[in-house]
Amino acid sequence: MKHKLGIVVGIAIGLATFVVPVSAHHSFAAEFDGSKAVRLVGKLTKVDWSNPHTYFYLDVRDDKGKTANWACEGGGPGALSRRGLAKGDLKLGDTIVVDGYRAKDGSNLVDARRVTLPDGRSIYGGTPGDGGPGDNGQ
Amino acid sequence: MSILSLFQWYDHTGLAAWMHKSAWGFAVVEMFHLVALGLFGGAILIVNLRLLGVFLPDRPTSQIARSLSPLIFGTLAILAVTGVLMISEEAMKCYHNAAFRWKMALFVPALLISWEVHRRVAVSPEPFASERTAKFAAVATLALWFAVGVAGRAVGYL
Amino acid sequence: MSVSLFEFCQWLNDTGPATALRESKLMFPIVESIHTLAITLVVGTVAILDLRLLGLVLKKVPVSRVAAQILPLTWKGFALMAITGLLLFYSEAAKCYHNPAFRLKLILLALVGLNPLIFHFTIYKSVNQWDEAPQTPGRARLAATLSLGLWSAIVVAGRAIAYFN
Repeated sequence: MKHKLGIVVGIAIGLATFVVPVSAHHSFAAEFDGSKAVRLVGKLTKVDWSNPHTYFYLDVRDDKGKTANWACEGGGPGALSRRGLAKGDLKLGDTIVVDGYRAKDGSNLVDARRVTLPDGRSIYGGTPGDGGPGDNGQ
Repeated sequence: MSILSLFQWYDHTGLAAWMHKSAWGFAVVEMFHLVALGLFGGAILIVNLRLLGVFLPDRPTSQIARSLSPLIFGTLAILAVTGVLMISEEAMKCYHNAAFRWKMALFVPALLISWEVHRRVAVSPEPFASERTAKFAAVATLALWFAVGVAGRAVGYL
Repeated sequence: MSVSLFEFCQWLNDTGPATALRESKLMFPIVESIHTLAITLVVGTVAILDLRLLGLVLKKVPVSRVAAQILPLTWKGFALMAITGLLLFYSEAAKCYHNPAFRLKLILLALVGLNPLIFHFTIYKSVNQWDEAPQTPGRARLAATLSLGLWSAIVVAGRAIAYFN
């Protein structure tokens, strides 16, 4: 009796959870790879200042001269504003520098950790000491 | 061994490496954590509502507490195991995260008071000195576990 | 003039209050946290009833008594979940429209509502006959198992929404 319940509930949860990675395309597999730190320098093309994550998009020129659009995922508006970054600080057309982790699925998406604005101001989006790209540890 | 060095050690284990690499590992573990949280919270709520005289007041508290204790212990075990696994994916972030520290700090008194209440209720038909003490214990238990839940959610928002 | 469902969602999304909530520093985290923690009030309580139907907890208490004590709590929790859920949907209606996890969650919610309705109007009508029986009827146990499975899947689908945004 107890076994039957356990099996059925387990199957229900199991099916539901494994549907997620199997059917997820881009978004799910785009968890970030802690060993793939990268620095992007580019012009802001779009800002999505929303919960639960903000997104800002950069046109980044690679060393071959080709331009590609990259998405940078940041914390929510609350987390960013507590670190000194306000919605208006990111202006379209500005050139900004983003240090972050690349997405595991290799797509043009980073988990933005340190953002450096044109005026030189730099904001760390992670938790100080967590060892992320751009972490000063203080 | 300091707590910092414990987290640093944990951050470099094979388990942590696997969780860092895995696209779905953290998500699946977290989902079990969430379902267990729902079940644990419901059971704790029911036992403490009985203590407050609000749920099945005509039944002995000991009967209700004993009936629900396998569920409470089972889900608590799942929460602990899944919690430890989730930490391995972001050990240093957890170590430095204020909400995570609050959660760990609150979890200890929450567990202690729940254990003490459970122990007394299972052992004696008059587990508390007075009805007021019983109600205070119930409110304190619920408040502490609620705070643990809030702190847990806040880890992702800070 | 006919408006598509997507256009309606986009319109909701772009309203002032929805935008303010979506871009908020504190309100969205608070609403979302209440929604998450309210899982204990809905799933946690209804699970106790389901486990009673399966004969796993509170065996000495008649089923109808457990239901009468549990369900008011569940309904209050559900009201909280529904209000916060609607607010969350409202704040990101455009993204939700496209989100497969969100769509799955809605389907599961419909099923988890249908299940107790069917249960209530069929096997539960004879509850007086099996209220204190050592084992509840098979159909009652089936409804309980489905309820547990569906609610678990709803929690999972809800969490998965963030992965498809």
